[in-house]
Amino acid sequence: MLFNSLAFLYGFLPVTYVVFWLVRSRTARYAWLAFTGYVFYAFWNYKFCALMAFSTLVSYLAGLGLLRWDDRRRRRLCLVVPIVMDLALLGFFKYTNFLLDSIRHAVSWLHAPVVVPPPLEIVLPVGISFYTFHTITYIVDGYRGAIRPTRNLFEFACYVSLFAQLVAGPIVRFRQIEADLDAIDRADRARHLDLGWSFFAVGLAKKVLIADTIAAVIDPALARYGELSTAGAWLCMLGYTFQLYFDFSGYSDMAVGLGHLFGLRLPQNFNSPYKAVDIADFWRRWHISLSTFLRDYLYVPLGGNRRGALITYRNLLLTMLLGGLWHGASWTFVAWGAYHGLLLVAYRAIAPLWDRQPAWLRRAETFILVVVGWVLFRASDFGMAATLLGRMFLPQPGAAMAGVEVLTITVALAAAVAWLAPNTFELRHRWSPLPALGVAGLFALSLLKIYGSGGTPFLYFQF
Amino acid sequence: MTVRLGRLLPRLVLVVFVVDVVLRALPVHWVTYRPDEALRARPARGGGFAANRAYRYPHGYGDLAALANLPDRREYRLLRFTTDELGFRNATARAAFAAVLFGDSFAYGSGIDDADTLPAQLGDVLGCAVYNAAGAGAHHAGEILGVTRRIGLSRGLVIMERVERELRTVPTDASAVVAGAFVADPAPMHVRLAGMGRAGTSLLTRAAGRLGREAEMMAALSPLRIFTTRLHKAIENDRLLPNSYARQAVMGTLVNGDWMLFYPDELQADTESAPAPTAYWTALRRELRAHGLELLVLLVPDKHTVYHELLRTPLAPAARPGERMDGLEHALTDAGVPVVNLRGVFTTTARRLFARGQYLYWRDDTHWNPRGVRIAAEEIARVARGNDGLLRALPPCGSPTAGGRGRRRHRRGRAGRASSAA
Repeated sequence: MLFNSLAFLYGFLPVTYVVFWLVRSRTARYAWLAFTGYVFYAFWNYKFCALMAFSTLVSYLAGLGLLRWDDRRRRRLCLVVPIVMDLALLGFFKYTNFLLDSIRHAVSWLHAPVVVPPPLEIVLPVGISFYTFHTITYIVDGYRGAIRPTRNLFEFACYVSLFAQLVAGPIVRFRQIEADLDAIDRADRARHLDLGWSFFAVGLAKKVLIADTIAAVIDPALARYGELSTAGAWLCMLGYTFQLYFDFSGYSDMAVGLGHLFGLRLPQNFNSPYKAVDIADFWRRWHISLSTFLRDYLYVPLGGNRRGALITYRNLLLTMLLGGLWHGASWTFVAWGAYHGLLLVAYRAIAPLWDRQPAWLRRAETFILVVVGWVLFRASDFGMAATLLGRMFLPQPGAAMAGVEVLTITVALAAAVAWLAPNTFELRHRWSPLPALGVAGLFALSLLKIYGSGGTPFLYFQF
Repeated sequence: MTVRLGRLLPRLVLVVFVVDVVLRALPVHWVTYRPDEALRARPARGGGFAANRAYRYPHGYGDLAALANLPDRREYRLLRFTTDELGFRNATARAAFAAVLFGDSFAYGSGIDDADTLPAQLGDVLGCAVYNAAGAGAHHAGEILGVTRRIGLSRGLVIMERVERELRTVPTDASAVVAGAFVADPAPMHVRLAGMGRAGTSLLTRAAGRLGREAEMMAALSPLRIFTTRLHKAIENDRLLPNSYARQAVMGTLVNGDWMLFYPDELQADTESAPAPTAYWTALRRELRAHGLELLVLLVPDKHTVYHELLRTPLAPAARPGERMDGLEHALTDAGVPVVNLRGVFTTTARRLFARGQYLYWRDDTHWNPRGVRIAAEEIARVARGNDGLLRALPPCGSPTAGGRGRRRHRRGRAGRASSAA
């Protein structure tokens, strides 16, 4: 089920909302939110509910173990077992065929007499990358003493399977919503209601009116990427740059809004990333919940920047490589991660020089570097990436694109919003009549567009 | 002054929802582009369409042009669609029937006028009344005999039409002849609930059946969705936005330069050489014969099967057009089941008419046109007259119209209620 679907807006959300506010006790609200999370998840594939329940239960028991035991060996066991299990599940479902394919290519290239098993018929459980990271942060933070693991199974299940952030994040850490979860029976409905709907409406408009309109033009054009002219290739990649941002940040805004409707404040996931003045700044603004996860649970444990320049560069590269791989089981994602790792290393090396440029120039340069990186992110293989980059940087004619005028206008509008307007967290969400009418109009238009074209999935659902 | 979005937006959602629900009470033909769509939305019990309706659509056009959002490929035509009290497409008043036709949209005449349907034209050619019982998905003997009883056909022909691409799902097992053993399309919820209502005596069960039927109909057809989809299609015109519906039809160019649309399912290659199953047909024939009826199987080729040799560039080089239906024809002939395979006559005639720029199928539709139907009717008549068994089954009929090509008068159903739609 999608947030931008009629089934969600007319059925799931009203029922979940009404029942949630009808039940009063804390545990009942946890249980209800956990249950609705599983219902929401079952719309994709009910069979994988058991997998999520298993992962939840193991992490919950590990949390209890961390509460109970003080000796280092047992606590380490409580840390290692659930993380290994979570990563094993993630690895099996997401990376098995990638690994087999890679071995097969290597064997074929080396002409080695090795028989590689054929690809397995594995269906990737939607959202597994996100809820796995939820449980990992919970266990690691519990082990570190940053949080006190909960004894309430329903509270933990609610945290893992909260429908608002279940399938595409943000990656919420337990400590970020612990206070709200504790006070869930005392949440102020009226205070959260306006904020929730305001976030939701802005997010819906970003997704349905901007991201989907761009997608309608660039998807068929990129399906024939070999025919694009230089201008067409740039326009498509600019379109994709804004599509990705408005799609994912729109989803995140909707998730934050839905969290508010149930008294839960989910963290900010995007902070105007295209206003970044350098690549490190970009990663402080883009998919913040993932970048901070990578920073706190990978980069820092690797040594961060505390062991000299070379180790720092190694850590940056490793972190970004794994960050790329997290996005998908494909070498293009690994290359995208490596590209950003190299940019971060390069920026670290030349920061004093870079920072001497005027802000507008740094912003423009950072943006172009990011756009080039999105080529690897969007490409289905290196052939497509090479062709697209070739068409972008070596002037050549190409076929006409249907919808080029609409795409140009939408990209210009999206760029103006991304560069000039405050982001959703910077808005005051107090609407005087005229802007409120505008928001309501955009919301109504989004609803009618959902009627006319059906809801389209969010890009990050595939990860 | 601050506007509370937490109050405004949920109300807006509620308003749109209420508008959607209210619009669902509109007559369906206001929002459909062809009469059979409108009439299939609320079919009579046991029938394929709403009972006793007569629609007149002066601007009907082909299903492929509609599905693929190709307004410039529409070939507008007058469509009259009349149903009888059983919910089948019969424009003539009830008479003594000599044959009954079961089948799919080809048999009931999607995209063609009442006067040009296969039963109408076959009636002209044979000089007998042929009842159109197509569109309800009848497969098993119980359903077929139920219809023949209701129309008073105790002796005559039962023609079972199958279009080529549907042969993949044709019943193969003799047990499919037994009522309920084979359901090609699971009965919709309202039919099941209505069935419960018939079986039970409880007022509550009947009410539930009725309620279920109405609820399912309302859930299935949303005029608001149709209006907004049309708006969306108008924008996706390959100028403002690319046409994302285009893949629902495949455009072919014939060697004379004419365009022709094909349904993508037609182009799917038959990858497996499945044996032609006859058990269902022989069992059905036996069952019908026990009730004084003779079975005739009618195999209709896909448009691509007929025209693939006339395409400038092949659309499906891997496909093996007609192979499955030819296999079934041979198997049925060997099993002694009378069969008409239209592939040969259609291919020959299509090639002959092609030189004159005439076709057997609408170019904007996956279905045949009146010319194609006429060829089919004549072929059925030829086979029936050449088969002693079939000839014996036919009751004495009147004379066929001159050459079978006389102008037919359009007659309205006995209880038909006239209405028209733009």
